[in-house]
Amino acid sequence: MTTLEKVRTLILKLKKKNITEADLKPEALLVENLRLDSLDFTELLVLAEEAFAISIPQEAAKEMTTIASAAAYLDKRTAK
Amino acid sequence: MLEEMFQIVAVGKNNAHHVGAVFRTLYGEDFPVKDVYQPDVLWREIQAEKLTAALALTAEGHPAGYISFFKSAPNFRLWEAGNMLVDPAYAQSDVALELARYYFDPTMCRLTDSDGIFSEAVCCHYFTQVSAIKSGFADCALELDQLDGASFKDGKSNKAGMARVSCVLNFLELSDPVESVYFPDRYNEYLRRLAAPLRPRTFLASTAALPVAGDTVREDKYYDFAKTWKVAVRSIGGDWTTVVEKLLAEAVRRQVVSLQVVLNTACPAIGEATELLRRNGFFFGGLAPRWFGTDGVLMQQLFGGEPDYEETKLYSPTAKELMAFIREDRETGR
Repeated sequence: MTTLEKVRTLILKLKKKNITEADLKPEALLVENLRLDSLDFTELLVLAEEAFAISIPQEAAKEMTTIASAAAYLDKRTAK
Repeated sequence: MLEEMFQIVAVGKNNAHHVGAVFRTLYGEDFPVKDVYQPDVLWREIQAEKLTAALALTAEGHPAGYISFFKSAPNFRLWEAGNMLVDPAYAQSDVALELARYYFDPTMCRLTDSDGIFSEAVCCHYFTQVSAIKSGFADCALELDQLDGASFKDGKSNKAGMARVSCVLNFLELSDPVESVYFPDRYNEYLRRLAAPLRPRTFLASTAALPVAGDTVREDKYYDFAKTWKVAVRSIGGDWTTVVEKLLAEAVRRQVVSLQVVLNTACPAIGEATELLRRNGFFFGGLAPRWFGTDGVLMQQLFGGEPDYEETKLYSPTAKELMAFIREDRETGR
C-alpha cells in the first residue's frame, strides 16, 4: 500500500460517517473539503504515528493541507 | 489547518469580559463554573493569585479561545491547567495549537515558581493528552468516569457520545521534592514506575499500622453537576475506618458516580489505609504528584455502570498500561 493510500485509509477511519472514498482525492483539502478540525488533526496524527511508527509534532498539521501533502510529509519523515 | 494570526494575551481587568463571551459561544449560560461569566470575580481571583488565564484574540481583537490555570489541589504551589476552550467558529484554525503551546509551557505562562502543573486531559479525544505528552508532561493517573459526557456541548469533543468521560492526570514537576514518600506495598512497584519520569524522590516502605488516635484530616471537593466527589486525605487518624464507612454512605446518598480519594504519601500508614479502602470497593487510580507537597496515591470507586473502555482514547503507552493495571486491580478486588 502506498503512503497516499494509507493516508486515505486513515482519514476514512477518522471521518467514516461523513465522507466516502470518492471524496478522498489526492488534492482534497483537509479543512475546506473534508472538514477536519484541530481534534480531527490530532487523531489523524495519532493514527499516523501508529501506522508509520514515527513521532509527529502537532505543528505538522500546518504542512498537511491536502491528502497528497500529508502523504508527502509522511514520506519525508519516514525516509529519514 | 487554516492559518490565522492569533495573539495570546493575559486576562486582566480590561479584557475579563471577553472570557464569558468565549464560553457563551459553546455553552450559552450553562457552563457549570459560573465564575467565567463574571469579570469582577475573575479579576479578584487573578489578583489573589488563585487564577492566571489567557485569551486568544484575532487580529481584529475578537476573542477566539481561552485557557486558564488555577489552584485546585491542597498544595497551593500546584497549578491545574484547565478550561481550555475554542469558539467553534475557529475550530478549523490553529488557535487550539497556539493555546496548547501556551498552556503546556510554564515559561510562557510564567508559572515556573511552583511545584508543578497538572492537567486532567479528557479521554474522549486525544488533543490535550497529545499536547501534554509532547510538552514533557508525564501521565500519572487515570480518573475513571470523572465527567458527565452530556456536558460536552460542541458535538465534536465527545464524538462517541460517551455517558461518562475519564481523564488522564498528567504532570510536569517544577521543583525538587524534599520529603520522603511512603508507598503502599501493593502498589509500590507500579507507583515507582509512574514516578520514574519525575524528579528523584526517596521511597520508603509503608509498614506502619493504622493510628489508634487522632482525627483524619481531609479536604473535599464535590462537583454536583458531574456527580464526582474528590477527597484529599492529608493525614490518617484513628477514625479512618469510620471515615471510610461514612464516605461510602454519603456517596450513595448523593448519587455520586465517581468517588476519588487521594492519600498523602507522608503518612507511614498509607499501606494499611489503602488496604482498608480496597476492602471497601476502591481500586487503584495512580500517582498524584506533589498533591500535598508530598505525593498522593489515588484510589477510586465507581457507583455507575461500567466505564466505556472501548471508546476511551489513551495516547501514551503509560496511559494504556495504567488502564490495564487499573482494570485488573478492580477485577481482583471485587
